[in-house]
Amino acid sequence: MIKKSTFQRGILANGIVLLLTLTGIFNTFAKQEVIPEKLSLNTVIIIAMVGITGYACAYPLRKGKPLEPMVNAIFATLWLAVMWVALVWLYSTIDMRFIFQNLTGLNPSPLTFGETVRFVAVEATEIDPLLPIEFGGLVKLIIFCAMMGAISGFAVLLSLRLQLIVGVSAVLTVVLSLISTKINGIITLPDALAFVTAFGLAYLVSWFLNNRRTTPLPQWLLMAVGALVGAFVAVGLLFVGTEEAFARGGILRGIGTAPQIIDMGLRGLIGGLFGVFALTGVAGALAPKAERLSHNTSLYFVMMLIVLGLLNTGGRKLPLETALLIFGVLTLGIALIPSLGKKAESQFVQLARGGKLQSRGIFLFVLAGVVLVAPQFMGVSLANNINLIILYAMLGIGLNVMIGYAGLLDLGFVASIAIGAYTVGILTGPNILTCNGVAINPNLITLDEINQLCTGRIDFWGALPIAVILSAVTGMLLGVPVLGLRGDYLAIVTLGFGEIINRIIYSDKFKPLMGGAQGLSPIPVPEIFLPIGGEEGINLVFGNATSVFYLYIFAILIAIFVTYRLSISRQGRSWRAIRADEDVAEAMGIHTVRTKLMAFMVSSAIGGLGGAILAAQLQSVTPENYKLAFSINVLALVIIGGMGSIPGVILGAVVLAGLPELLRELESYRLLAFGGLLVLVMLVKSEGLLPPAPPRLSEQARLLTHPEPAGTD
Amino acid sequence: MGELLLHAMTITKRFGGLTAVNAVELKIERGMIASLIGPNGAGKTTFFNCITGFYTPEEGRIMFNNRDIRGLRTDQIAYRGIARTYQNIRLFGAMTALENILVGMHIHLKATPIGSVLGFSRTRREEREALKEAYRLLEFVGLGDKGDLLASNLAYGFQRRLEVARALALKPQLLLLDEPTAGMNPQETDEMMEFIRNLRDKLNLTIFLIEHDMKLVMSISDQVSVMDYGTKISEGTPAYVQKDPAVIKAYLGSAPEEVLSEQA
Repeated sequence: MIKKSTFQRGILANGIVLLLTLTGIFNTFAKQEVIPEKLSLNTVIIIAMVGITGYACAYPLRKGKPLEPMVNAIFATLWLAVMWVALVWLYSTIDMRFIFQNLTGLNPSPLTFGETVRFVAVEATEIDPLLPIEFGGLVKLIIFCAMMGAISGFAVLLSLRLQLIVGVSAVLTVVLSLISTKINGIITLPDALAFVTAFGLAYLVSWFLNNRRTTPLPQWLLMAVGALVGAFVAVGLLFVGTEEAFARGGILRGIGTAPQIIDMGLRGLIGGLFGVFALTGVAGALAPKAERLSHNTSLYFVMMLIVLGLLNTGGRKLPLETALLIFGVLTLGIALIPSLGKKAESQFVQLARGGKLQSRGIFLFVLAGVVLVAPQFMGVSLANNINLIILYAMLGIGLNVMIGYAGLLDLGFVASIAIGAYTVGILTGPNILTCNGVAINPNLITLDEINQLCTGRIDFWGALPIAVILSAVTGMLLGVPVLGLRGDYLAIVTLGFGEIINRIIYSDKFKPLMGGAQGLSPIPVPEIFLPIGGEEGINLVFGNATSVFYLYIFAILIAIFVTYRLSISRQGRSWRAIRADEDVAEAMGIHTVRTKLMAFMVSSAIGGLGGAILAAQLQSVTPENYKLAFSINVLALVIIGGMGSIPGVILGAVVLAGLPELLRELESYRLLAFGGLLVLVMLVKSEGLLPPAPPRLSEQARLLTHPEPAGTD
Repeated sequence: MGELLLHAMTITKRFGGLTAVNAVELKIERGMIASLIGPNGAGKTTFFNCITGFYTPEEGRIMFNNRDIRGLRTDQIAYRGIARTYQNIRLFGAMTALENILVGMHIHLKATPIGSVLGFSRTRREEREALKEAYRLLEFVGLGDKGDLLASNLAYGFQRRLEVARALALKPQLLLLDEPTAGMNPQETDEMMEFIRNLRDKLNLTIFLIEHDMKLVMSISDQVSVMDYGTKISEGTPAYVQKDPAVIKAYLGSAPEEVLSEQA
């Protein structure tokens, strides 16, 4: 009845849970609440621990007898309960803090359901009456564990799709509520609903028109209908919304901050309103027959708007009803959108070439618009997190060229980042190179003196290409001596390179140039002067998180574009061939040395680009920032996301750079979670969260070879 | 026929104290199907590896189209027009069947990284042509409907054929096949035999193969060379080799000669 696998997995799960409990995880998160007064983070953690244990033990038995998974899961979760009971007993009997210094507050704790457990009656004092033996909390714990075991044993029998939908929605809801204070100021519910109405109405109308007719409607007509629907919603808003709401910004906060529109006053605002909503309507009308990527992205975006609007209603606290609503929206969205996307794609492929381009163009335009106004809504703190994610995603995309495409394990990636950052730091700031050979200490002289003396400085835009080229060239030079090495050997040597670069920037010898341990500062803020909009023009300053965002977006788009194009080209095929079998690749005529050097070069160039922008954002460079851990972080996100897959790397960056950043409070457990996640992903999905999809070229190739249409029937 | 394509001149390859290939002399004329046979460990694959540049022989010269290719890198030898398959199939498992062939076409493509990134029309046209050509090859080996499958997911027989298609994509003058029928049943072996003959007749290839299946070797070869303990012990037409006492001795010790001819 109880299988061997249950014992194996049970031991593992118990070990992990025991370890986490002993490190005082429940104490660390004691003050965190997912839903105020209803659900604490600790409870969520307990549910997750017990649920995952039960699920893991039931999973191998899902195809066996119907009751078997449940029995095994309950066995495993009860085992967990017994261990916890024993732990609480031990804790109450002896002071375990001598060994486990963080272990406090286990009784009462969420484990005892907040009740104080007493294993022996406590003698009465004058004030207190006799306190009897009390273990109701532990009984609850045991019952709870058994129930969770039953639920998880039942869950494995459900269809995988259903499990995935509910699981992902639940996890997302918890994460969202934890970070709600950070993201609840983005958009108000009425604003969100206005957009959702415009989009959704246009979507439905277009869907209806499409389905009612045998011959498809012309694209322009659909767009016109969509624009009308959007305008209709906008008119409605004019009636509903007050002038005060418009003045405050509200919906038009993004566009409203552009100085020209403010100058145009209310008329401009109304014009903008109609424009934005008409565009939303057009997108909604085109979505039912758009490319799957456009369709799904826009629908997920709409879903996100609703969720953000809902979060906005609660203030600092997230009421239970809102949480449930969010969970519902997420479940619905995740369940419906992919299948709707499939239908849309099937309609899209029937469009003429012009229609396809038009549809793609409009969605790109809308996406560009969203990206352009997004920082206005985010606020500095969220923008900082998002910038970090983009930076890591971009670096991951760079490293991915080495690891994912060419199969070269590079542990010294930080070297290219540091070279990019320091190049910008040196060329734009005061030091011996830019100050005509005078060694200066920027802390001891005034700005005027710097301006007088340091005439060799150039601005960020001049330094950026130099940084990228320098990184690429050094990356390639570093590559030359190690090309003969494979696998582990290469990893060790690149590790050394990273360390060498770090030593160089640390060293006192180069202090006049690179600032030694203090690094270089200040690095001037990048600015662009646009000679438009009046005589004085507009000066775009990338001085804070919301504006540096644009730099990062620009850079990551370049990185994605270049690496994607390369990956599907002759170069990319050569890389992957070398990764698969170097000898055979060479026998196919591939020049392995040149191909590997190309990988070193591209990857270093992207690393340098990332480093350069990072330096400009931080307005300083210090050797502390460019250490081995940086390389390892980037490496980990590439591996977790999926080596060789650009979407995978981006997801990896969101998970590894984003979540720990948003869950600031998890800080002390960040590295533990980091390691645990690495192990888990490697065990369950060794190819990463989103492994690369093999390119589907067959259909295109067949059509090229046999030009007659496929379905001649 | 008659024009010399490959001439291995007294090739010797040693691994430490072991002489794997010992002063082997071998000539292959253009348009021939030549076979190399011999007991296990006779040095056949090592000899292949010497020709394709995986190993550099210590002595001797390898003349291909009257030019010495000894000491060239593997990729340079591929450029000169020698392609091969492997005894234990070595496809790029994580790539699709079509991509495997596209990799084989590498030397005939001119796309540069910059051209690919910027999407020059020349590069795009070349890529379309390559795709077309690759699909034709895929159809030629009978895998037209399996282009998007990962090579590692193909059935064994298909993998063999894909490997040949990948080698053909190099448009080689000389195709080396290392045990093309290993692990195949008699029917598949017959199909492979027909396939190899087709390659020669339709594509004007010169084929040099290592094979253990005597029936196949004797029926399609124009020339059979026999190796044992690193040296060539016999060479000639299938009929001649079958009767050569040295060959019979190598294969069967000193048993009667009928055995080998019966097999054929």
